[in-house]
Order: sequence, then structure tokens, then C-alpha cells
Amino acid sequence: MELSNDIILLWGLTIDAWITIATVVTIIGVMLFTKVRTDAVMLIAIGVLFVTGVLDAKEMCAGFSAGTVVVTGVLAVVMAGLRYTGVLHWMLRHIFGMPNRYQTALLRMMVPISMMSAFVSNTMLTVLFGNVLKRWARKLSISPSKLYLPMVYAVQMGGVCTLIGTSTNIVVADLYESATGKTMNMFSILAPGALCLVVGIVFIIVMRRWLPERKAPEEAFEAANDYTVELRVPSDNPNICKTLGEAGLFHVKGGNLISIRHFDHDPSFFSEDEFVMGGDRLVYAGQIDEILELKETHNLVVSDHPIRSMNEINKNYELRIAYVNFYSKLIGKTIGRSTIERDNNVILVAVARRGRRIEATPREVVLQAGDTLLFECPRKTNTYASNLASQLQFSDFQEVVKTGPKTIVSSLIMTAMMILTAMNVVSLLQGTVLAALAMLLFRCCTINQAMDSISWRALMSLAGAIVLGSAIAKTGIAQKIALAIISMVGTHPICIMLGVCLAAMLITQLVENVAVTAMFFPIMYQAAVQVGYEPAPFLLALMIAANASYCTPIAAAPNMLVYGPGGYRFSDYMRIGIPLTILVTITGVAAVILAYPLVKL
Amino acid sequence: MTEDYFEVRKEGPVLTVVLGENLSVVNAPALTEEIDQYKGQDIEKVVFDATNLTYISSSGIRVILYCKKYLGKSPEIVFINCNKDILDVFDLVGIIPYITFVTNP
Repeated sequence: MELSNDIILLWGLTIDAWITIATVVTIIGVMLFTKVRTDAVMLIAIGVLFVTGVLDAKEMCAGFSAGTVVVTGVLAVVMAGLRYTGVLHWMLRHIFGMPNRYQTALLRMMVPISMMSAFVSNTMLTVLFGNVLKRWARKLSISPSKLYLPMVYAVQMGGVCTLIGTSTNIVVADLYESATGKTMNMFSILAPGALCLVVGIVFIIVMRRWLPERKAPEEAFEAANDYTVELRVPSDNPNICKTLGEAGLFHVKGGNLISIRHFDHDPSFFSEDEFVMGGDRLVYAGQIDEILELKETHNLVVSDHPIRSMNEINKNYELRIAYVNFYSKLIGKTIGRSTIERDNNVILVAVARRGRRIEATPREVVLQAGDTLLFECPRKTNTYASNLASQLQFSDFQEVVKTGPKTIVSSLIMTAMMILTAMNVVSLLQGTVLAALAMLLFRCCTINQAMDSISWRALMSLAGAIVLGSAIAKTGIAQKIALAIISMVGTHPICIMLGVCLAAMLITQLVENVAVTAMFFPIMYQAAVQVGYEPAPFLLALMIAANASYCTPIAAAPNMLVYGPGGYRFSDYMRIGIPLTILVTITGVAAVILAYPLVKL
Repeated sequence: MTEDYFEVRKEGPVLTVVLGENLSVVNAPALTEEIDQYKGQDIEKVVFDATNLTYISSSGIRVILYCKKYLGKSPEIVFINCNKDILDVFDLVGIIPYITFVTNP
């Protein structure tokens, strides 16, 4: 007997609905507990919904042709134009000064960053500002950790202020247009978003003592000269042909051998059984005075320069700092057991955790998220293009862009795009496409730079989230949940708005914002319709709640990007993030109600 | 003959290793594994035929030192027809005193 997908099972939900619920629960579980890529998770989920008949072919493909996805992709080209003509760098150079008080520094940083974030990708801004803030913190003699978290909070709060500031806003606007045929203005969310931003910034400045003060991870390596020394094996050394262990060069008085490199770049075995060869470079860590006795006892030659100047000995190499990111496959493993050194021709020199160098052989340290690694890399290693980027986050992002006439051109293009879309002269899609074409036409960025700036993974995740949202709406789950919420909190629209927002706010701490937005859009929409109100204000409140992901480093990409460089602990985000999240969400709901009085349908 | 080729044969106490163009990280581990089979067989001399050898890396040097240490009682290492580039590498790593060089027409 064939089982129809329309048969109603438990709680009045069809088989399709239960399949969708199971898929959503599985997605959340996979995102929380595994390191599988979000885009892959979403695509598999869509596949499951299609194969099981929940979605037909047209619905399955709808996400990929959605305006949201196209706008997000094209907007990345516009951002590339701004980036490569130096607009962002010009702003960076001119907004920071030398404030003499910490609270002034916070204000001076957060206000302009949040304003920029309203029009620029949050992740791009975080990457660009990361190193600038590190240097600025050094000038101000404060820990970078006192600036990084406020920066990412400002970036996220600012991003909510326009439709293009964050992809979640674009998702809501696009789904709203699909559901009602009405368009949202670029600045529909500006008033409530700006109020949340002001409240958020004031809260952070007032509660600045709650911001964690962590030792900068790089400090653990700054005094490397004091604990490392490089010795060379001359070609006439009597220990040649012996193993390191036999020669007494592995465990030495006062320290340990931490690195050996032969005359070439072939991998050397870091063990007592490795042979000593002329030209070997042996790097020791420990008490330098005692280690230097090896010169006399083992006929070694001290290098003129300590390890931090290794690039002066070998012009082809340089020291670079990287952090173990949250989704790295290196977590729980040692570098010695991975092939990362051999595959990328890099050598691990030292490991630090929470600002302290780990006193052990670097290759044998079991790595944790946030660990700081000091690598010796061939010069000009493109750590962003190589497979290192998927495992590690390199901190030494240096992008030098000259400003010139094109800086003005790209600024004008961006301004024109904002004005034309804000005045509804052109739609958001038309505006972004025109701006992207103009950026390319005026050579504000090259075709390659434009294509490289598009995050195809993010677009796939976005498309998947939209399809998932439509499945939640189509199968009646949204309506059921909306009714359940109404039965719990009553039919008062403010209670409903607040109830859904708080639920979205909770889940967004653990799951990607876009997925949360796509899941909660149909629920919020249905809830508003059920109680007979125009859904637009409810959805604006949802934008703010779904973006209020301040409590965990995994809640949003900017949070994750500063976890390692800031030397933070997981709990650091909660201390100030929890009250900030609640405050912003409640302020968001209140601001929306004030700015857009609720109207009966 | 491929560039990473090698051949190992034993005639009495002499182990002969015929090398291809390269002895590097690509083929050195496999050669070490092959040589490992002759441990404990009282090898007195290991002859490397380097007529075709044009490149040797530290991984290749490791194989030579491995033979010296683990085959028999410190067997004599002989290199046949070693070219100048290879000799320069041996000179850099300081193992020339441990090798006998022979040139065959």
C-alpha cells in the first residue's frame, strides 16, 4: 500500500512536515556537533527534501535563482570595487587617532566601523580591521582583546541598519516580497537598527569592565630570542653519520631540540633516530646559556641570528603566526601526526595557548581551538589560497592599496547605488547589478578580483536556507508553530513579536544567522497573519533578533575571526554577549513598534 | 628506466643498489624498505651505482647513512660513477670521508 505524504500523523502534521522537521533537527545537530561545511549540509538537506517528495523540482531549484542569492553575489563585486580602490583603507587611516582614554577609543572605533558595516560585508570589515586594531591597541598600550569584541559587536549591530548590511536582512526582504508582492526599502530597518546600535554602543562603553582583557597570543612569541637559538652543523662535524640521539643532540642540557632542517626542503624526521648531516640547522628552546655549551661540546656553530631572524639567514623563509580555527580538522591532533607541514612546506616552530608558550615539543602538542602557532613558511606563501586556510587562520593579513581617482569613482558608484535604491528609483537587485557593472567598467576591480570576492559557499548556504524556509512554510510547520506560540503567549501582537524574536535570538547563538532567518521567517509571518496584523514590522524585529549573535564565537563569522587573535575563551563572549543580546533584541522590538505602529490587515 | 627507478640485488656479502636519476623523498622511503630486508645478513659492502643519478636530497642521504648504520657491521659504502653535483652535496653534508668513490668506464 502506498503511503501518501499528505496523511496526517501526530499533532496534525503530515508526513512531509515530519520529514522537514527531522531534516531541520538533523541540520542543527550537524552544524553544532560536526565540522561539515554549512553549504554541504544545506545542499544535502535540500536533496533529502526533494527525494522524499517534500519539494518538487521547481521548489528545490527556487533558492538558487532567488533574488537574495543574486543580490548577495553581485554585492560582493561592488564590495571588491570599494576594497581594491582603497575606500575602506582610506577610511581606516583617517578615523583612528590617539585617544587618551579607553572609553573614547571604544567610541572612536565603534561608531565609524558600525556605519561602514551598514554597507559593507561584516566578514570583510572584520578581516580588514583585524590587523589595524592590533597595531592601534599596541599604540594605546591596551590588550587587543579589549578592542576586538567591541569591534565585531559594532560590525554586527551596524550591519543590521540597512538591507544590504547583512545577508539575513536581504533574505527577509526577498521572502517578504515573494509572499506579499511588496518591496522593503533599503533603509526600512534603519530607525530601529540605529536605535539598537546606539543602545548597544552605550551599553558596551558603560560595561567596558566586562570586556575580557586577555594577553595577546603573539606576545608568547615576541620574546622568542630569549628562548630559542639556532645552531648549525658544520660539514666537518664529528657527529655526522650518527643519529641525533647517539650524538646527544636531541635532549640537551637546558632545553630541547624543537626543529631540525637539513640542507634542503625535504621533510626531516623529528626524532632521536634522525641522522645528523652537515649543514643541518638545529633549533633549540630553553636556557640559552646552557644550550650554547653545545658549541664547545659538540662542535656546533651558532647562527648569527636567533630564530626570529631566520628569514635573514634564509631569505626564502619567514615566520608567520596562525590560529587554530573552530572548524579545523587539527583540533585534538598533533601537527606531528598531520601532513600539514609536508603538504605546505612549512615548519611548526612553537605553540602558545592563552598567551603562554607551551613548554613542549611543538609537533607533539595536542591542538585546541584558538591555539596560536608559529610557523616557518616559504616567503610569499599564499596562506589564503592554499589548503592551510581551511585549517588555520593567519593573522598577518597585509593589504596595501593605494588611493587615487578610482577611490572617488567607486565611492560615487556606491553612493549612487544607495540613493537610487533608497528612493525606489531602481530595485535593490537592479541597483546592485548596475553598481557592480559600473565597478567593472571603471576598472575599480578586475574580473578576477570580482570573482574571487564572491563567496560561493555562502551563496550555496543562502540558497539552501531559502529552500528550507519554503519547505517549513509549505508543509504547514510554520503555521503550527505560529499557533503554538499564540497559544503560549496570547494574541497580543507585541507578545507574539517578542516571543518569536526571543526564540530566534536563542537559536542564532548556535546556528548560522541566515539559516535561522530562513527558518523563522515563515513562523513570524504566519504568526502575524494569524492575529491579523501586517507582517512587515514583525519581520523587521526578526531581522534584529536573528542578527543578535553575540554570545558565542561560533554564532557568527566575525566572532570566530577574532577568537584566536584576541586570545579569548569561549566564556568571554557570554559575559558581555548575553546581556547585550537580550538588550538589543528587546530594544529592537520596542524600536520597531515605535517606528512602525502595528496595523491590522 | 624511470627517473625514480632503483634496483637492489645481493651477491654474497655485497649489496648492489642501482639508482635512477633521482634519489629523493619520492623514492627514498621505498628504497629504505627494500634495504631493510637485508638486515642481519652480514653485508660487508654496499655499492651504489650512481651512473644515472643527477639529483639527491637529504632523504637520499638518509638512505646511505641508514645502510652504514643498520646493515651488517658498518659496511663499506661505495659509489660508482658519481657526478660532480652529487659530490658537491656529499661534500656539504660531510659524508665524503665515509664513502669510497669508484669510476667505471
